[in-house]
Amino acid sequence: MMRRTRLTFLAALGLYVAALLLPRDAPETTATVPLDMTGIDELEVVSDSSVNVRLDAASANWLDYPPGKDHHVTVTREGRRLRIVSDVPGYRPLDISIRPTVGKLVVRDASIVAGPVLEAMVVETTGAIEWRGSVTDLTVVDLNPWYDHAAADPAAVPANGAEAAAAAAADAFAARLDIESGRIQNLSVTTRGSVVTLADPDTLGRITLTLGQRARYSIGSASRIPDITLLPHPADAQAPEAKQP
Amino acid sequence: MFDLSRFLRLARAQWAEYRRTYAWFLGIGIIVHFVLLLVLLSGNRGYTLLTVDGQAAFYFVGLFLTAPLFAARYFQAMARRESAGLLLMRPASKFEKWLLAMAVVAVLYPVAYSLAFYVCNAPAALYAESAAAFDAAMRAKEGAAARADSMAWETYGLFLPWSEFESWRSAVALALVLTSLQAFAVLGSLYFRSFPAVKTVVVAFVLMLFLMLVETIGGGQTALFKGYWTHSRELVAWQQWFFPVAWFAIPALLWLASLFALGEREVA
Repeated sequence: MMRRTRLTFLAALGLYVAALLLPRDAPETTATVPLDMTGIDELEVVSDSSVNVRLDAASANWLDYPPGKDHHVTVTREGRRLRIVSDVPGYRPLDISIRPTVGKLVVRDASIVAGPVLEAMVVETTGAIEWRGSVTDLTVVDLNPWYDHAAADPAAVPANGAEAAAAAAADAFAARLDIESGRIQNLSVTTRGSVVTLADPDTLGRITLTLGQRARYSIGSASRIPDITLLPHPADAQAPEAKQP
Repeated sequence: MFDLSRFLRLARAQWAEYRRTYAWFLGIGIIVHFVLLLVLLSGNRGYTLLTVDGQAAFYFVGLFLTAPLFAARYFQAMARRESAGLLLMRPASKFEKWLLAMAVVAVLYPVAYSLAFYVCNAPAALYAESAAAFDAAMRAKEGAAARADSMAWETYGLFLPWSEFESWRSAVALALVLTSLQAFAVLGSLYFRSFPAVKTVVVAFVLMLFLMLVETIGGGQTALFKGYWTHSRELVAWQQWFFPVAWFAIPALLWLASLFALGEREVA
């Protein structure tokens, strides 16, 4: 009685239990894409995930990413710009290693390590940056769109609730621009609302910080007074009043 | 085995006999929803629960609670000997009866539920949207205190089921889980002759405990199968074909078991 019913139900149950118990994670693998940097001045990475960039004269040019059934990484050339677009999920970083032949990096969140001493580098970001490495001239430009919501004067009464919440969120989500290590003769950082951290100011030469009203900066322990110039961000109309945290 | 005109006659008979029952089922759902919204909106800031995400939570919780209940009641006549005889002697094959059950339970009920959901949800969502706009304007007048008001980031407006899915894969996962629950409820109502609802709930509870034990044994690896449609984790070759097959085979086998149960009740 009801034998076929029971057997079919047990088959469904058995299949479910087997599907739960049998799986084992696939071994971690990475896919490597060689990058042709011939004639390229600028590297742009469009990705939700953070990017580890290594600038190393001794290295080949390549990109490593975690392959997945829904991940796609496309590399295209647009004149002298190499554009990498990735939909790898945010929690899995991309690794890029290139020879230091490019002069400009356009990234969102990136950790950048420069092997030898570079001549000049411009980093354009819309997120957080961590820099390690020696360079003669380093320019970091923060184009985070969040800060467009921020009012020119943080103490000003916002026009409406949504604007106020946007301004509060701009504070809450302030990204970090960290200059961790390396000798840098001329450092220029421009941001409207991020937190600039100069971890080792003794290794920095002339420092120019162009800060918006919501931006902050902090300086690590130093044996001398750093040569630092504070300028107002042109997008913020009022007089500069950058604050230390 | 299948005759279209006979199937349509069966559908018409089913509709004539059970349309009031179905209407009552949806009507009670609408009343419960109405009372729930009334309680929520009577509070000072009760509207904050009716963001698009809040409405989505109400919609899916309601769907997953009522769909198996509706499925379990589809063959409720089988619980009594006299009405079971009438139902089984209807001039239609067991396949046609089963197919009609599947069409009503798995296809028409979610559609009817969605329409019934909007009877109360549409006016409540519009009210919440205007209340949020009014509240934001009032707070803006209060000045800088509004900065901390994170509620201004919440999205208000009318929830649409398909807008909540990140991709078609999430919708497939949800549909397969829902139809598995419905098939299990139909199977229980056909398999158990006396007190089918109580026995189905007891078996479901025991199965839940058993599967929790299995998941404990399996550890974190069970997420590979359960998250097949929504995760993007890398799979080994055999998992790439086994997982989708299993995802579709489990509800298919449960529906097939209910077909066998219906046939075996006829024989008995």
